[in-house]
Amino acid sequence: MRYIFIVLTVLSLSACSQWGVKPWERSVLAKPEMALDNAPLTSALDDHIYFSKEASSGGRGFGGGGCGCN
Amino acid sequence: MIKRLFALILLASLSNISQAAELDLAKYKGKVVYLDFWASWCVPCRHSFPWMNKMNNELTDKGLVVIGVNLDEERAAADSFLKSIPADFKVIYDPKGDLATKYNVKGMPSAYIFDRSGKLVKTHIGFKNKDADSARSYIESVLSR
Amino acid sequence: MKKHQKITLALATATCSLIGGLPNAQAEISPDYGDWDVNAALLFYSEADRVKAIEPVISAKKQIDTDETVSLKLVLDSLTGASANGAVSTNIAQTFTRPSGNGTYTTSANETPLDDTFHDTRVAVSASWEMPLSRMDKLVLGGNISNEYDYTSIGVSSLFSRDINERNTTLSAGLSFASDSISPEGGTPNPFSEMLPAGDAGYSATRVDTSESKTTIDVLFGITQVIDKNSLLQFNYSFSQADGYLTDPFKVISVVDATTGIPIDYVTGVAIVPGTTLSQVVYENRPDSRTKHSMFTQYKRNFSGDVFDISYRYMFDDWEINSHTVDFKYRLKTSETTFWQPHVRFYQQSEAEFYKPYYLSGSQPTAGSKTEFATADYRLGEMNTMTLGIEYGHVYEDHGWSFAAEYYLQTSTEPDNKVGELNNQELSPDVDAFMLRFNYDF
Repeated sequence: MRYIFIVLTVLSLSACSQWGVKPWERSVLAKPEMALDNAPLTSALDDHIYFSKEASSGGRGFGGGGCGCN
Repeated sequence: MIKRLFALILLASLSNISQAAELDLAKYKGKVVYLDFWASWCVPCRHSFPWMNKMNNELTDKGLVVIGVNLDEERAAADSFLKSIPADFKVIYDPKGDLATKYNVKGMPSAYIFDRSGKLVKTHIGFKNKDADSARSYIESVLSR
Repeated sequence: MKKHQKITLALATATCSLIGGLPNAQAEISPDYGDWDVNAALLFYSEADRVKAIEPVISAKKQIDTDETVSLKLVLDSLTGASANGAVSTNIAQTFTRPSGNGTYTTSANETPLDDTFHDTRVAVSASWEMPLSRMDKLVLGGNISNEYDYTSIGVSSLFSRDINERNTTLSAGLSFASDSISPEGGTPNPFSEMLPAGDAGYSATRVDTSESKTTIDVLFGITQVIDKNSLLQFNYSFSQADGYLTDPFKVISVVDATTGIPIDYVTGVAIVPGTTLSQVVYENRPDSRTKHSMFTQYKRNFSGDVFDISYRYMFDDWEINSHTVDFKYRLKTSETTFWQPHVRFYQQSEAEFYKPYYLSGSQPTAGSKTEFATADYRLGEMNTMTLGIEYGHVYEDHGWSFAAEYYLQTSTEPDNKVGELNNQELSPDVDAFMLRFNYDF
């Protein structure tokens, strides 16, 4: 099960050679609601609840997207 | 004859509809051109405007021309930005990114400096307040060549 | 109202979930240099008849230079109410000794035993510093401390990220380290020792130590890819290694008569006399090491101002717990300044290899065993959970707020092969909770 997941993800990532936008095409990505974690306090509160009530935690990542400025 | 006229009118109106940005740097020969690509959603662009206004206002007499190329897809976004942070320099609009493609813009904002003979002498990606002074020194050195 | 337009700054976010304490770059409102960008939230959490919590959070971020920020965050977590101690319910009332060894608490017949000893406030402070290393590289360093009366945690973290492909691709690598210390009231119990009556002279002999420690290392690798103007995708792999005291010192496992399925009197070995004698329960024991692997993926897409957000996480560890989490949100833009956001989350986990809802009398390990492991803590058992929520918010140029209500339900299947009275008891009842959350961005 876990290996199928890894293979599928790697395969789908390798198809991304044509993905991407020009630097000036990021107006939508620059919107705050398009950040991967656009409500960090809420995510932290949720993570804390689920960490206390369930056996799994974390996993969420960081970075990327956005306006890509500078 | 009428067909040709019709084609000409169609061509002229089509180019207006598509609003293709046009920039003829030849008419600025003899001047130093600072060409800046910006957009309303780009925060460093917002920080660069007061500095570009200053460059424009203080160095026009010495032969500097500042041109801002706006890359917003929606003109309303650019207008709203300029209403709160007005540009003292010339702004042209490139909503389809044709000029950006032509100049191979690699990041936002991007600045291109052309010397008095029209040659591209410097390209700079991004804007940081702490680089403002050295950028100004560079512009002044190009102006004095 | 500020003159200049607040344009969004979507910086890469600082680490948060690795050890749950670090602030993030809040993308909603962009400050000018020197301004503090403050965000606050308040959570009310309430389980029917069980735990209730109030959690205020405040975080502040300051832009100290282009692309360089410092953030601070303070969390208060005030917990009251009762949680399951791991013992089984039965057809008569049961008595248990409080963890401190002083005092008892009673559970009515046919009720899940809950320990209501916990009235605790936790304070957590975290700080982070985000700095550019070069035009395409960035480093975030963070630290956090949290404290409650019997538990202290200190941690540090680092996250490096690099943009490539004209910033269409972001690669991240993170490392964090946490050191925890637990000093439970009454000391840590000897594994599989029996719970003794309150005030019993032998009580202290069942306690091993006044305090224990635990260390955790987390490693993360991530890749974020812009797909097109409207969408992006993220994939992360993370690894977590925890070593030290991982047992819950307050959780027990019932020992029941092999025929009747009723907890027995630990002294006489016969059925307990309700309200008088103690049910026989033994303290749980977990391994002193836990290795977890997680794979997480998230996809976000803009649809004419609305935002579709879905994520999936798969976790597996060496306690044989596997879990799947699917989290879905749809942010509906109802006007330039308002939004609604429905939220659905599904979670499923398998039980730990040593999950043991109860022991039949005689089959429990000897007290002090270091090689046997068992827990009746339902949080390590098989379960499915579902969260349904709705949020409504206002976003203005320089401030915003939102209000959310959520319902959380945990369900589990009953253990197989229950004996006697246990067949009349619900050993794995549903647990549900309501949450209310208020966010304010200054």
